[in-house]
Amino acid sequence: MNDDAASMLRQWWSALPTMFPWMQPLAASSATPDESAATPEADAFNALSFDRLLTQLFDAWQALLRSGGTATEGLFSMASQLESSFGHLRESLAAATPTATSMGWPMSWPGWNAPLLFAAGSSTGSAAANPLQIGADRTFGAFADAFGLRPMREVQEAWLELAQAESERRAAQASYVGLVLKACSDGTRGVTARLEKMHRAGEQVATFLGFVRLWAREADTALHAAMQSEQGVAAAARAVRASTRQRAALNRLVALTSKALNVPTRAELDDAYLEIQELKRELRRLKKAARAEAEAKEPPSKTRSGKARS
Amino acid sequence: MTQETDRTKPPLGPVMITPADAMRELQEIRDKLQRGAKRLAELGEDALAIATAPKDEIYREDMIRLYRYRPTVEREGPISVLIAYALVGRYQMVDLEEERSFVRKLLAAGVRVYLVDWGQPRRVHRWLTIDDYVSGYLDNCVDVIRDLEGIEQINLLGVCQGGVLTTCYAALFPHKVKNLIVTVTPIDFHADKAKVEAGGGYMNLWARALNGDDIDSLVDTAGLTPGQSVGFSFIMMNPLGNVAKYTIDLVDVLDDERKLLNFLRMERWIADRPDHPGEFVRQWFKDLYQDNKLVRGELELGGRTVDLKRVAMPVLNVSADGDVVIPTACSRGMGKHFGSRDYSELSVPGGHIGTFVGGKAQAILGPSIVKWLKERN
Repeated sequence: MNDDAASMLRQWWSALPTMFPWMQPLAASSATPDESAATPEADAFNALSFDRLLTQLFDAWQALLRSGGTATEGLFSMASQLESSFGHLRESLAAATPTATSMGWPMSWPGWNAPLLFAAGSSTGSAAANPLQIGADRTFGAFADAFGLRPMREVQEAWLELAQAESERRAAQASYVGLVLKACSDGTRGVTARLEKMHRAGEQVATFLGFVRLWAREADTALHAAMQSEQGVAAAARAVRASTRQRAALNRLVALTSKALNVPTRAELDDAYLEIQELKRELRRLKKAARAEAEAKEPPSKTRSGKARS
Repeated sequence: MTQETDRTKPPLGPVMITPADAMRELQEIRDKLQRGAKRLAELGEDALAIATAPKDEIYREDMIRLYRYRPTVEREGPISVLIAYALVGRYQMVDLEEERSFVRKLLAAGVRVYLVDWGQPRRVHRWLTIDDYVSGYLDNCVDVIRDLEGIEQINLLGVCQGGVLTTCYAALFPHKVKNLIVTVTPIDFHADKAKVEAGGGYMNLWARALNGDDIDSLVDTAGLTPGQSVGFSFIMMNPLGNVAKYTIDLVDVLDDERKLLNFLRMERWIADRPDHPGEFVRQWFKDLYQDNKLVRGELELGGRTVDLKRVAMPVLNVSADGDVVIPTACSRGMGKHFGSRDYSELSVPGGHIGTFVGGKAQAILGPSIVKWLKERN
């Protein structure tokens, strides 16, 4: 960045908080981005950092201004800056996905899988339980249950299941977000192509909002293409499945708690509601039959005085 | 590069924005936002009210309500119509604003308008099936109107999901339906397979990407599908468009009182997303989106098969040119599936919702439907 551009950038930064006061905390806190981000999440947040993105855009814009008669170099510079920004975030997410345990609770709680008696995943079969734990559970499980420890066992298993489901859900979401970010990156290439086309046709973008709208249109096209692709649809389905499993695990935990507190569970209420609904259907059927019988005797006519039921 | 940049001179290339221009524009945006914030603070509840056409409740059952709109002309004509909206949104869309009201257009033409409001299903309603809506609530509403008007058959108008319900009703109770009008309604749920419409038909794609077990798990887990998840899926159909709507487009909206009111009233409608009964959702996705049973003649409601060939009354099928929620392939050219020999189609400009609130569509929809009904009464 040359001196003139740097001075202009400083001028912009000093003006922004005045123009948009609600941005001040963000601008202030992100003025010194943490270069030594230790976690994938921090990396992702840094990549999304508004001031960093603006700085990159500004650099690209400067390159565009300096490009003289042919805008190609500047346009590609801008595209590469944006791609680099999105790419950084994608990499961060990719790094985060396999290590989802580091992103949340309670998978990262120390010793979560440690208990000897309550073999983690012994009933679900999905946890990384070791043979010793499974053996201990098989041997002493019934004995422990006799002393009223069964609810604890079940709750612990439910927690583990929830943790796994939560981890899966985050991974599925990350995978979906990755797809969206790739589409945004593709959209940026679309902007470049569009600008080149406009340049050749002698068309112009005269306002900042106009430029943002142009970007949004191009990115939208890329996003739709990605979301309608086989990969996109599969990612959406995976996210739905993972969310459902997480919700089911949560339901199980709540049901165990309800049972322990002698509160009717969701399933018990649903059974009652089903019975009510079936009785309503039966009543409806009987009413309809009675009405049909009455109508058969006296079909409705213009002379019949109608009366609303309520 | 060391070339100096003249801040007052537009750069070469298509992006003709100098820093000075950009600063000026940002300043203008700030001014617009300030004016908009002031305007927002001054708006009262009355100004934001939707669905204000006067109406009376004439029947209620569980959470559903049947309304009759009060006439706006001295002498009503002989035509009456029952409108059934979708379950995914509230009926207010057909009477969103006084100047953008489909209902008011019908009333002004002397039509007696009835409307069924499906209400807000609660946990207790999770077991309601499509048949409960069709052979239960809808049939009861139809009977109430038949009694009230002393007539054998009524005109039915369904919107989107409501169009499927009225179509099923017309197939199961053809003796009670004089004319059937379906608007932005999916009939052949797989017709989009041949050619995916760019940027549209997401619900079809998502539903088919899941299998039957996924739908079962979803319903068993949620019980009542939250309205917010429906809202989220609609946002995800056009994520960037929605980001733009609430950011850059809002700048202009805030600065224009009429546009702002339109925007806020629409948001009020959008925010009111009822939950969906689980069993209804199960059948909706498995039997219709996944197995396309309606046009295959395999859809069973309450132990009876829905045979579209029994829909022998006149049918008017209205679709929107820019509908991305219901791919036009799924709603157009459906005459071959019905038993009716009097099948017509009407295309209106705009999108799925625009059919009822878009200026151009409004000018066509109401008058065309009234004309079509008059010709058949």
